[in-house]
Amino acid sequence: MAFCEVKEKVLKNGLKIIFIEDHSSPVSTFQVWYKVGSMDEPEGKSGISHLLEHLMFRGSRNYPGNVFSKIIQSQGGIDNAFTTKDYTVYFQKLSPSKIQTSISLEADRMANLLLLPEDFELEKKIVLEERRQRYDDDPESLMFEEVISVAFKNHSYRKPVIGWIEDIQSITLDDVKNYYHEYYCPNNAFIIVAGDIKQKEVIGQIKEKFENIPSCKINPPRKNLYEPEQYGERRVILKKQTHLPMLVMAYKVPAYPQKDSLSLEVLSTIMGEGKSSRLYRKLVIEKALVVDVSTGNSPLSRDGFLFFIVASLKDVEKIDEVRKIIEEEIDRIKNEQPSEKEIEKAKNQVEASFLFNQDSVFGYALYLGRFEILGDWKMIDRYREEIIKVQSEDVQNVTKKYFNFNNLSIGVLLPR
Amino acid sequence: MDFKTFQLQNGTKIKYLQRENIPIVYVSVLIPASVLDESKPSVAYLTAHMLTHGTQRLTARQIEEEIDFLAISIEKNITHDYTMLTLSTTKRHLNEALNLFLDILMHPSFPEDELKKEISILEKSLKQMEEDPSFIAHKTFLKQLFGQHPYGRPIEGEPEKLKDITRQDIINFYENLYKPDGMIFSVVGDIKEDELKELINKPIAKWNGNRKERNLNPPVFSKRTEPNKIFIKRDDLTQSTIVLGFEGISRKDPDFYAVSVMNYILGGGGLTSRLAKYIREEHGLAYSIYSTFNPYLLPGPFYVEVKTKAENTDNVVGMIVKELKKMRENGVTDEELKEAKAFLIGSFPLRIDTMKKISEFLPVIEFYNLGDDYIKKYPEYIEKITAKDIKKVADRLLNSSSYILVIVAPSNAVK
Repeated sequence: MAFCEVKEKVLKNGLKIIFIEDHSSPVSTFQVWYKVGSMDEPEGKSGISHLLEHLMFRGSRNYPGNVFSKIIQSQGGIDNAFTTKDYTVYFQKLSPSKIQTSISLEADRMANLLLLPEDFELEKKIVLEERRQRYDDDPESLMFEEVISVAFKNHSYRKPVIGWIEDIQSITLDDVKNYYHEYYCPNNAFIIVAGDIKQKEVIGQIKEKFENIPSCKINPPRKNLYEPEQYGERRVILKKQTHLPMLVMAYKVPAYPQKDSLSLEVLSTIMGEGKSSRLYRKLVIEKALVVDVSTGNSPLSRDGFLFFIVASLKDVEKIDEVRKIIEEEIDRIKNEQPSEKEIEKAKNQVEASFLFNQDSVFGYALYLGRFEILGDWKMIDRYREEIIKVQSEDVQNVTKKYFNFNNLSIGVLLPR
Repeated sequence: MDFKTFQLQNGTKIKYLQRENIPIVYVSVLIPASVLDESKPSVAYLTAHMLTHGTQRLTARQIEEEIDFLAISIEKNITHDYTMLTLSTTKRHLNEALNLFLDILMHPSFPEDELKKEISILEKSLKQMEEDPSFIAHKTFLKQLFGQHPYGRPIEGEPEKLKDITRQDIINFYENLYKPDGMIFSVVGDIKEDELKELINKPIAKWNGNRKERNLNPPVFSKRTEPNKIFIKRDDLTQSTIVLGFEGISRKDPDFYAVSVMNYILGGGGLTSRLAKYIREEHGLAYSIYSTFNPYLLPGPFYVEVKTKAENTDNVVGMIVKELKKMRENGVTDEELKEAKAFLIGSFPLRIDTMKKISEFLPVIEFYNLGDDYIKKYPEYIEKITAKDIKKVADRLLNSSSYILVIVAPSNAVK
C-alpha cells in the first residue's frame, strides 16, 4: 500500500534504477547505493568503506578537486553520504529541474574517482577527528562499540563502521583503490531517484551517463561469514566520566526475511517502545530506577544482528536490580503470552510508522533501499503483510528461543 | 503554497493545508510561552512536558496507553521564544487523537506526584547533559554573553535550581500563558475543511481566556574590550570543544537576510563554507566546524563551534579569528555571493518538503510576523542582498577583537 508509484529498470551493465514518483512537493532526491559496508572489509582494514566514502567527495576525472558539494549547493541542493555495516549511500536532495547535475556527478565518481595521495592523507586525519568526536569522547557510543565487539567473536559485525584507530592508520591508498575497483561498479550498486520527477524524462539522462560504465571484472568478493556458537554470557565493563550509569543487554537475533525477525519487532514494541511499554512502566514509572529504557531490533540487516535493551540508571548500586527486573519481564513473556491488546497496539504502530515514513520522499526512498539491499525492494509489501500476521504465540516463541544466557552480551557503563 | 488562515472569535489563529496523498494528519500549536516568561528556570519546559501527565478526564498512565495504542505522537518543542506541540496521527485515528490532543492542551491537571517524577528525571538528565563537552561549552558561552537574561541559560534549566519548583509555579505559568488568544494552530494533511471546522475549530472556539502580556526585556550586553577566554578542564577527553562567539541579531532585525548570506559563506554552508574549507578540507584539523546565529524575538548569539584534537586548539582558534577578520576587512567575492544566494533560494523548498515540516513552519511564519506570502517572497529578500550589505553586517557583527571564547578540553590543550 504505497501511496506513490514505484517502478524499476535494469541497465545493460547490471545497474538497477528504482523510480518513486511523488508530486506532492517540488523536490527530488537522487541516491546511489553501493552494496558494500564494513561487513565486507578485509581483516586489519576496518574503516576502509567509510574512508572511501569520504574520498568520494574529493574529485573525479571530469570534476577534479574538492567540488562536489560546491556544485550541488550552488544548484540549491544538499548532498551527503553515509556508511553502514551493510551498505554505503550517496545522496542529493535538490530541485527536480537540477537532477541532471546529480546524474553527471554520481556517474563520474562511480567510474573515474581520482583518489589523490594528498587528499587521502587529509581525509585520514579528518576521519580520525570524527572517531575522536563520535566515539572516543562519547562514552555511550563507545559502550555500544564495545558490546558489539564482544557479542561477535568472528562475524565482521564485531568491527565498528568507522574502524579501529590502528586499522585506519594502516590503510594505504592502494588498499582504497583496490577496494573501490572491487566494489564500486554498476552491478554492485543501484540508484533510487524519487520525488517530483517523471520516470520517462530521467531514464534517458541516467542511461546516457551510467550505461557505459563497465561492470566489475569479477563479481565483488563476498565473505563467508559465520558466528560460532556462544557459550555463556559475555560482559564488558567500561569506566568513563558519566553521570548516568548505563546497562546494555544484547541478544543475537536473525534478520529478515527470517520470520522470527518480525516477531522480534513486535516484541520490541511491547517491551520497550513508548511510555506504555512493559519495561518503561516497570523501571521508569513503578520502580523509578531508571531515567529511560528502550529496546531496539534491526531486522533489515544483511545478516543477523542484535536485539538491544538499553537502560540509563539513576543509581550505580542498582544495576543488578535493574537487570533482574528486565529478566523477570522477559520471563513473564516466556510464561504468559502477551495480550491481544498489546499485539494490536504493536500492529497499529507498524501501520502508522509505515504511513508516516512516506511523508518524506527522501525517508521513504531510504526505507525502500534497505529492502533492495536484502535482495528486492518489492519485499517491502511482503514484510508489512507478514508482520501484521504475527501472533501472540510467535512473540512468546521468539522470546524463548533467543533470550537466553548463552546468547547474551552485557555492557555496563560506570562513572569512574 | 495555498494554505488558508482562520481567525476564531477568541483570538486563536488556525492555518490549514489539505493534502490527501497519504492518510495522515499533523496538527501543530504554537504557544507564545518560553524561558522569556519564566519565574524560575525549567518552568516552561516542565509545563509543556507535564501536559501529557494527566487531565481532568485521564491519568498519566491512561494518556500514555492511548498515545501508544493509537500509534500517535505528541511532540513538545520548547524554544527560546515559544512552545510548540505537534500531533501526528493516521486518518483512521483522527477523532480519538484530536480529542486527546485538545484535552491535554485545555484541561491538564498537573498532578503533584507526576511532577515530582518528571523533575527527578529532568535533574538526572541535566546532570548527564552537563557531562557533554558541547553542552558545557554552549552553556558557559551563553551565560557569559547574556548574564542573567533568560537567553543565558539552557531551556531545560539548571539541575541545582530544580528543587525550588512547585506545582503552583507550573499552574501559574499555564494559567497566564496557555490561552487561546495567543495560540497559532496549523493543520496539514488528509482532512477536509468541514472536518476541520467540526473537529478543531469548534471545540477551540469554545475555549476562552486572555493571556498575560509578555514582558519582553531585551538582553543587556556588557562591553568587552578584549577577548573573554574561559578554559574548562576535562582530562578524560581527547578533543577540545571550542565555542567562539558574540552578540547576534533578532529575527526582526533589518539585516537578517544579509546576515543569512554572510553566515552561509563564513561557516553556515556545510563543507563549502570558508571555515570548513580552511580548517577541515585544507588542513584536516576537524570533522565538524560551523558558524551559526540564532535570530530570536530579541537579539540572540552568533558563534562558531569546532572540535579538534587537543594539541591543535590554539592553532584552530587563530584560524577562526583570521577568517572573521578576513570577512570584516574584505567581505565576499561576487562568485561566493552568487553561490550563496543560489543555495539559500534553491534549497528553501527542502525546508518544507514534508507535511510535518509544513505543519511546524506555518505557525512560525505567523509568530514572527513574516507574512502569509513569506514562502513566495523569500527569494526576493535574498536576491536583493549585495556585497556591500554583507560587508556592512560583517563589520557590525563579527567581533574578532573582543569575542567570548570557551574551550572544554584536556589540560594539554592550552599552553
